[in-house]
Amino acid sequence: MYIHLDHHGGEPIYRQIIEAVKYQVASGQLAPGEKLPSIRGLAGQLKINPLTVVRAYEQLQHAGLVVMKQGQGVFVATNRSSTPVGVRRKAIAEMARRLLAEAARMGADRQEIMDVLQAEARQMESKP
Amino acid sequence: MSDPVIEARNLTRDFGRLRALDWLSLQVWPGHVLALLGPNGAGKSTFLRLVQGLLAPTAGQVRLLGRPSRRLPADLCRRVACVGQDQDPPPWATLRQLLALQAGASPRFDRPLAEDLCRRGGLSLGRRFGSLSKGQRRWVLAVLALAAGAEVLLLDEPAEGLDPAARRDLYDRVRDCVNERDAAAVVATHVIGDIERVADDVAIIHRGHLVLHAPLEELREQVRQVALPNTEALPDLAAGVSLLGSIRLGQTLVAWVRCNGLSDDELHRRAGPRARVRTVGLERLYLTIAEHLSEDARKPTEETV
Repeated sequence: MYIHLDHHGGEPIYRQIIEAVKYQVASGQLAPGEKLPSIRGLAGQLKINPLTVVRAYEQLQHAGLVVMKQGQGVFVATNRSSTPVGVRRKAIAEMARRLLAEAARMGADRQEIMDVLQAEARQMESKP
Repeated sequence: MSDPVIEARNLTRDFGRLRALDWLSLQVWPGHVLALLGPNGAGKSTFLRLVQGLLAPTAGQVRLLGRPSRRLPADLCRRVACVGQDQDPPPWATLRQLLALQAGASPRFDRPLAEDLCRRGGLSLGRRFGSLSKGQRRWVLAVLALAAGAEVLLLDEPAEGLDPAARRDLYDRVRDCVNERDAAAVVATHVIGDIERVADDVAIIHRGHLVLHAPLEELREQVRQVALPNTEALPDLAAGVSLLGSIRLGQTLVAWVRCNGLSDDELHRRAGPRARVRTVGLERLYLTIAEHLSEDARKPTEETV
């Protein structure tokens, strides 16, 4: 799990970790059931106090996004509906902006993008 | 909870008629990195020298690992590592000799770590200390302290003269030491950006006074910048909000406040619809406090008694 922290903007570190995990879960970079880095591991990677990681993981657990299993580690919750709508929308909007920008660069108009999206969605649905 | 590693109570030190440290009380806990900030001459080095037991307090006391620091038994001394301002090893000593000396003084000396850090600094062990540049000397002193296996690290401007990559590397290693050994570190510096990344707590000293001591995460949570365009006087933000400082930039009034649990929405409501509320980094906060205090000092009623 890669997390980029901004140490100088004044946003609390534990909250930046929460947002990063929420975003990665919502955008599918973290799959349901996937194991997150250990508390010590993430603290070592980010060069922060382990208690800051604990605080973030505890709040994520409270929000239902992760499950902390005694002696086993921290896992992304398998219950998909736990992704808050706001976070999900933000993640999708981000991907949409990237898609629109890339497509526009290649000279595609909006209709063409929508057509491709619809076609892809149909194809995914038809798969078993 | 475990005991504090450093405990200063009403710590005071005079040099002749100058009061270098005035009634300072603070504690440092295992697992924590404390950034000790303040302008030159604020009392940071005096504080660290008192903690090390190199100076005797004029009044008050300081305990290190539970004992008065002036009477620290030898076995506890080995659990403390320092980078000071005036404790350079002899210039003729080679790095290999310095490592051997430190290994003799510190039973838990981590030789592989020390050698690895020397290599990272591009220094062969045959080099003599006196042949090194200023930055390289600081690096070697930091290496000796980091590899000592100590529970307490007292570092006075350890990154002075280091290039940005080495500064970052050094502070990362400090954090690793603290995390891996549940050690405690005090880093005195006036270069804020690097230490902000790895510190847990911040203490700001100004003219010997401790003016702020708080966990960084709490400051990030509590301190806000409020920008008010086309405003003459600061509106009353009232109950629970403390003003840290303000400046005027053209038509805009910029204020820094500690909102003590007040939500951003509520702060915004009180400041008015045109106000812009945002978070503040440590550097901005430090400058605000320092300017605020210097202004106070210029008022004739202050500090003349």
